[in-house]
Amino acid sequence: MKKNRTNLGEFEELVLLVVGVLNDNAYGISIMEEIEKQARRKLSISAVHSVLTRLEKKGYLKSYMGGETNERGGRRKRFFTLTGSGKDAINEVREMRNKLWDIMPDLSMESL
Amino acid sequence: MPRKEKNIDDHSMPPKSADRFLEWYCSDYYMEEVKGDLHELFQNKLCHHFGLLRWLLYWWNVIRFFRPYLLRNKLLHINIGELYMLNSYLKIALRNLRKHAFYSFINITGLVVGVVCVIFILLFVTDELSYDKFNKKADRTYRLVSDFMIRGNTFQSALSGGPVGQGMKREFPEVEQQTRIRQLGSTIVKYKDISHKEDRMSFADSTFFDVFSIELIAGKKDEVLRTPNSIILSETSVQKYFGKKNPVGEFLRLDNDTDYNVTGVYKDIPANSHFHADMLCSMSSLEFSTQDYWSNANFHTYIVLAKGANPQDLIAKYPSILQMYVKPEIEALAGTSIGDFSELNLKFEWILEPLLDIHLYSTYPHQFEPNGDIQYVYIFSAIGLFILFLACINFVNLATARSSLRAKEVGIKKVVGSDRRSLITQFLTESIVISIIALLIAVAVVLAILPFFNTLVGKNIQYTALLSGSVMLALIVIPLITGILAGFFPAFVLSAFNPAVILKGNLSGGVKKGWLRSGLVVFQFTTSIILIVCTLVVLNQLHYIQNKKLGFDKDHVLIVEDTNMLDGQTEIFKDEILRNPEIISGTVSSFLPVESARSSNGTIPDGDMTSEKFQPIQTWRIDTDYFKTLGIEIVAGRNFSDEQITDSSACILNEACVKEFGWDDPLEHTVARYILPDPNKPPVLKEFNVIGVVKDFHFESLKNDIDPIVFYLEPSTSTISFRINTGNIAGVIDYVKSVWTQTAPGQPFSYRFMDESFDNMYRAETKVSEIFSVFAGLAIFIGCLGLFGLSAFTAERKTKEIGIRKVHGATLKSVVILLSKEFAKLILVSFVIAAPIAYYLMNSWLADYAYRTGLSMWTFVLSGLLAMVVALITVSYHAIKAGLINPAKSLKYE
Repeated sequence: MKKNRTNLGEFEELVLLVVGVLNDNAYGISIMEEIEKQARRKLSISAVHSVLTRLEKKGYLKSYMGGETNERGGRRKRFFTLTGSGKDAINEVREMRNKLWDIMPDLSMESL
Repeated sequence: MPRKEKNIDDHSMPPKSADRFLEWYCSDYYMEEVKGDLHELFQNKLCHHFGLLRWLLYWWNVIRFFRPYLLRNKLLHINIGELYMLNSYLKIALRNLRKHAFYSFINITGLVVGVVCVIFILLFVTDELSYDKFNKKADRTYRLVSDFMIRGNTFQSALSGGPVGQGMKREFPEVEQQTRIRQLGSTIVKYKDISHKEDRMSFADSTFFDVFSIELIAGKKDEVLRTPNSIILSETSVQKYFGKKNPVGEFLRLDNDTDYNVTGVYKDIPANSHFHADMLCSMSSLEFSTQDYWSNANFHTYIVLAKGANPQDLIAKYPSILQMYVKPEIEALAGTSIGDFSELNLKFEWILEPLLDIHLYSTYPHQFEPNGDIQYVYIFSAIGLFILFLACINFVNLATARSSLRAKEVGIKKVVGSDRRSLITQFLTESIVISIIALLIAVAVVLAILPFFNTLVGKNIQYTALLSGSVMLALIVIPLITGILAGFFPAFVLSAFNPAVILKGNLSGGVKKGWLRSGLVVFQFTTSIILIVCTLVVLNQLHYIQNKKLGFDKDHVLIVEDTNMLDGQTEIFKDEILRNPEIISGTVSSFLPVESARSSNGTIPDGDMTSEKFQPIQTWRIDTDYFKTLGIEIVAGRNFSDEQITDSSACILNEACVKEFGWDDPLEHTVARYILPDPNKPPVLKEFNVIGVVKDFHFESLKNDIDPIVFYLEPSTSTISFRINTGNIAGVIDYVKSVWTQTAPGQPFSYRFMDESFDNMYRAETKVSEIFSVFAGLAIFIGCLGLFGLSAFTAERKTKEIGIRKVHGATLKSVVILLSKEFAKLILVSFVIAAPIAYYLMNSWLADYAYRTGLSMWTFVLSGLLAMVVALITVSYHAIKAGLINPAKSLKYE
C-alpha cells in the first residue's frame, strides 16, 4: 500500500462526502442523520465518531469545537470540515470511477 | 463542565450510571463532544421509546463507544507498579500455601473432590442431553406411541401397528417420511465357521436412512434394505465376521435356517442414540410386516413431519383414518358391524412423541433400550453443584477462622499504605491460585478414574468428551467462580480490619464471626445427612424388593436359552437332562417371571364379546411341569395334565385375573381368545375352560402391581428352565452343556440363573443406590475435612486454656468433651433440619413403587448417628492431641 495513493473505505468515502455536503454544520449527530437520510442505512453514533476520528488522523478532515449550545446540556459540538487532501481524496476516487466506467465495454453494460 | 440540564424533567434524563461509566473510560479530550452527541441522541432520536427501553438503548450506545481510541490512558497502559504487585500477590499466595501446608491440603483436597464431581456430572449431563441430536431431522421426527382404550381399559405402548406409519404418510401431506424398526431379539449369526450370538439385531424399512442420519459406507441408500433376506452390517460387525474383507455380496446364516445377503455397511450407530443395532435386516424379510393390523402394536414407527408442520394438526385429523382403516379392520376381526366408534368406548390414537424426548422423558412400555430419566439429570446436577459448594464452604470457614493469624499482616500493609482494593486482590489471588491448583489435580483425577465413572453410570464417555466446548468452558470458569466465591468473603472480612485496632493487639475482630461459620458447617452436615438418608432408603428398598416373598422360588433355577436351536428336539433334550439325579424338574415355556418380552391377547371372559371386562391379558404358554419347577402354588382346581386330552382347551388363571373378572367360582367359567390355526386364514375364537387358579407371584419389577395372566397348555420353544440341586452346580452345568452339544452340535450354548436375571430387573435401583452412596460418601468426606481443619484451629487457639485447665486438674476426657461439644451441637442442628427434608424427598421417591418399605425412624436415627460419629471421630483427633500436651509446654511462652 503506497502512501501517496488514496486509500478510502466505502464508508469513509461516504462520510467525507457528507461532511462536504453539510458544509458548516458537520458534527457527529448531523452526519449520522444525513447518512441515514441519503443512504438509508442504520448507523450507530459510535461508528460515525470512530470514522471521523480516523479520517482526521489521516488528514482528510480537520475539526474545531463550536460554541456553547442550548440543547445537549450546553455541551459544545465538534465540527468537521474537509481539508485540501480530503477534497483531493474524494475527487481522486471519483475520477478513478469515471475512468473505469469509461473503459467498460458496451457489451457487458447491456447484459447488466 | 457546565451542567444546565437541571431544568429538564428528570424522567427524560439519560441514566446517570451510564454517564458515570462513560466518564470512567472516556478520555477528557473526547468527553465533551461524545457526551453531547449521546445526550442529543437521547433527547431527539430515542424519544420514540419510553421508560426502561429508552434507558437501555442509551446504555447500549454508551457501551458501543467503548473503543480503544477513546479510552483514558490509564486504562490502556498497564501500570508497571501493578504488574509488580501481581507478582508479589502470587509470591505471597504461594508462600502462604507452603507455610500453612495443612490448611492448604484440606482446602485443595476438598476443592479437588468438588471439581471432580462437577466435571463428571457435566460429562454425564452433556451426554444425556445429546441423545439423538445427531439426526439432522431430529426436531421434526416423532415416534408413534399407541394410545388405545378398549372398553375402558387403556393400553399404551411405544410400539404401533404395522400399517400406521405408511397409512399416515399416504393420507396426511404433512408426513414427509416414515420408517419402522422391529427388534429381532437374540439371533445366532453364522459366516463360514465364525458364529456369534447377536443381541442387537433389528428389521428396518428401506426408508431407515431417510429418517435417521446414519452414514452408509457401502451400498446405496435407495437400494439397501429393499429385497427380502438382505442385511446390512455396522462397521463393528463387519470387523467381527469379515475382518478386512469386503462383506458386500457375502451371505450370513441367521438362526441356522435363513441366508441373508449382505448389501451394505453403515457407520456404527452413535452411543447417544435411543436405539442400537449391529445388523439391520430388510423389513420385507419379515412376512407379517405387510399384513399387520392398525390395532396392533408390533413396530417402532417413526415419522418425519414437513418443515413447519404442527403435530397437533395431524392429531386433529385422526378421525378420518379411524373411519377409513381402523373401523373396517375391527369389524372384520369381530365378525360384526360395530356401529359408531364413540358409542363403543373405544379409542385408537397415536401419540406423537418427539424423537429428542425419547431418551429422557419416555416411560411407555416396550422401549428399545432402557432410557435415561430427566429426574436423575436434575438430581445429579444439583448434587454436583452442592458438593462443589460444600468444598467452597470449607475454604471460607478455614480462611475466616484463621483470619486472626493474618490480621497483623493486614494491619502492617494498611499502615504502609496498601488500600482495601489491593488487599482484596491479594486474597482473591490466593483463592484463585488454590482453585487453579485444585483444578489441575482434578483434571488428572478425572482422567485417571473416567473408566470407573463409566462403569458406575453405565456409559461409555470418551476422553475426547473433555475437549468439548462446554467442558472446556467449565474448566476455565470453575476455578474463577470457585476462587471468587470462596475468596470473596474472607477477602472482605480481612480487608475491613481497622489497622489501629489490630496492631494494638486486639485480634478478635474477625474471629467473632462464629455464627457464619457455624451456619455453614450446619449446611454442610445437613446436606451430608440428607444424602446418607437417601442412600439408606434406596438400599432398604432394594433389599426389600430382593427379599420380598415373590410367590415363586427364584433360586437354583437354571435357564437354557435359544432352545429354538434344538430344532424340534426340545422334549428329547429335556428328557435327557432330567436323567441326571441332580436335576429335579424341567419345563418348556414361553415366558418366565423375570424380565422378558411378553405378549398379551384380547381375552374374553365367558366368551361374551359385549363384556365390560374384555381386554388384553398376558398369555403364557407353559407345559405341565411349569408350576412345579418354579415353585408356584396352585390355590384352586388342578394343574394341567398330560393324561387329560381336553386340557388343550383348558387354562389356568392367576389370582389377579380372577379378581379382574370378578369371579367367585372361577372353575365354573371360561375365557376365550382369538387363535390363528392357519396363518393364511382369519383368526378364530376359541374358548378355554378354567381348570385352576395359581397364587399371585411377582413376575415384573415391584414398581408395578401384579397383572392378570392366563396360562395355556401349548407347546413353545423359547426357554427351558430346570430346578437343580445345589450340591454340584458346576457339574450340572457341564452335564447340561454336554447334552446340548449332542443334541444340537455346533450351536452355541448359553445359560443363566434365574436369580441373576431377577437382580437385573433392578439394575436401575442398584445403580442409583451406588451413585448415591458415592455422593453421600463424598459429601461427608468434604464436611469432615472442614471439621478437621476447624477443630485443629480451635485446639490451636485454646492451647493455653487447655493448659491452664489441666494445671487445675482437668482430665483428658473433660478436655475432649470441651472441644467436641460445640461441633456436636452443630451436627444436632443439622439433623433437625435434614430429617424433614429427607423424609419429604424419599417419600416421593418411594411413591413410585407399588410395593415398598416404610420410612422407618431408624433410618433417620442411624444417618444422624453416623454423621455424628464420623464428625466426632474427626474432631477428637485434635481434641485428644490438645488434651495430651504437657501443660508445661503449652504455657511456657509469654
